[in-house]
Amino acid sequence: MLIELKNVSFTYMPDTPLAQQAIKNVGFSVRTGEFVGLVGPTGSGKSTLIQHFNGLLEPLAGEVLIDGRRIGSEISALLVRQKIGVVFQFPENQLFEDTVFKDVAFGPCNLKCSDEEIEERVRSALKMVGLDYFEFKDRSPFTLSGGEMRRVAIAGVLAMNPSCLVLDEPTSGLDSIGKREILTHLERLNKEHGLTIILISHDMNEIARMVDRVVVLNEGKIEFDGSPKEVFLKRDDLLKMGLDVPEYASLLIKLNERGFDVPLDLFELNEVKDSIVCALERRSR
Amino acid sequence: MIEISNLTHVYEQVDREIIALKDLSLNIREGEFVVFVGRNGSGKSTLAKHLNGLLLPTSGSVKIDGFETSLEENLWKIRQRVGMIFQNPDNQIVATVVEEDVAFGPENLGVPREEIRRHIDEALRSVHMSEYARFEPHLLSGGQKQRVAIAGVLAMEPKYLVLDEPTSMLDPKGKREVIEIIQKLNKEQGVTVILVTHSIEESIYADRIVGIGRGQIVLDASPRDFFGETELLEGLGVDMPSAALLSLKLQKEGYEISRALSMEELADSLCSLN
Repeated sequence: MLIELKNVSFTYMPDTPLAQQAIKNVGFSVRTGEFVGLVGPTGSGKSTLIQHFNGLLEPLAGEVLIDGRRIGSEISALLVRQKIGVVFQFPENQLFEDTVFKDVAFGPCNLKCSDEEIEERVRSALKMVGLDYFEFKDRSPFTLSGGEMRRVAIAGVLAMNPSCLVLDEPTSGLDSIGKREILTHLERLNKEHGLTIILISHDMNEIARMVDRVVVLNEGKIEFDGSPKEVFLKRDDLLKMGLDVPEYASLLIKLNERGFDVPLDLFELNEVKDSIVCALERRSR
Repeated sequence: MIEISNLTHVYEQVDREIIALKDLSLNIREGEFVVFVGRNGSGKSTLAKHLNGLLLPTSGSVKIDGFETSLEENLWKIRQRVGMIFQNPDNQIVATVVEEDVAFGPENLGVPREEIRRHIDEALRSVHMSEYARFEPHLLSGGQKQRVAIAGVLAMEPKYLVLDEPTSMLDPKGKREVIEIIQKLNKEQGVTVILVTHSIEESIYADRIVGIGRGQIVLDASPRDFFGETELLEGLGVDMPSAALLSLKLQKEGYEISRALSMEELADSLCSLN
């Protein structure tokens, strides 16, 4: 098991009148190679939870294991941060160097890698996010488009050679082309490089299309954990929490209510079209 | 009426100039709901910032009800008429109690005390946040905070409301709340709305969608006509609504349905077949 949380609870400002419990007794694990979607309304504890994955926060109760070793006592937080790369919201705000190369090289430089090793890591990290090394290495990150800047920021995390990438709303604020670029590369990192990915998103279409498993967090607790097909069948519960179902699922639900015999758990354009065609043919018979 | 004539905006950088808007002309009538779409870096946010004089034309002009933004003596009048809302609600809230935050604008305008009370109450009622008047803003959800930010602008009784990606940081419920409020302000209170967004679901409610590419207007049309221009959409970086994609697929299968913009519309037209 790559990441394992056992009965983890966390409270901000404990033992004060302002104490606020952000996550409550959460048990959760992620296997190597999984692509997990983490969803939940604002304030449900998603950001608090992911900061436990790489030791940025220490649980008040319970324990966090990485590769079976307990953070702090059995594996250092420093090592954990190399293994579990976290990309926070709007990571392009954290770009600071004057060239793309230096920005991506920042992590490996701090690891005291050799010059050849650094160059190799920067090359491969940029390649993983689809940016041509020679075209981009000497450019200032601040002259790039929003989508390119974000990919440079992700490359900076990939240059640490993590085995897991955690991304907090990596497509928010990007245009549809920028979104597609990021998602295509995440899919490739998972399928071809075997990278474990945990994706936080408010876009249920994105979640349904990308992930193998959806974990729903609400008020600091895990409410659902299953395949997109299983989780998105809980439409009423999701709406009550302030979430939603993918667009095509909402169409199928509407059609079902109006007497169409269609399955409710399809999210892909052609599947949905075929199921509607079938239902229409059955009706006309 | 907002009149933009031959507007050019150039950002001066140390080593080069970036032309963000190029000889762009556009009129927005009172009561309209206009959406700006386009890729990141297309110039749509730059254009939005010209509407209340946050940015001034390099050349050309922007007039709000006849007042030119480039004349400094007009800026107060313009900013009272044109309210702005940005992406991140946390950056727009200044006070520690909701109603004090809403009072910030009218207080600065020197509105008398009794009047301010009325402005606050009406503004909070418009965004369905009356019961939160005495709350601390940090206890609110993202959607609620964004509605408080909108109330703060409404308390100045603007004619025009410019919103630059107001929902992109919100969860699905927050997005729904904010969009419903924007539609209501436009339909029921006649506020002219200019909404910058990447969300296709949000743009289908507009009277007009203005597609901006490389600082120029590429397409200016009603949502139905806009999403009919398949080839231009690609260049604008705008996806077709999923409902439209699906209706095209079903048309190809031989079903006679019109191109739907929303899932509701598509469900209706499928149900009315045979």
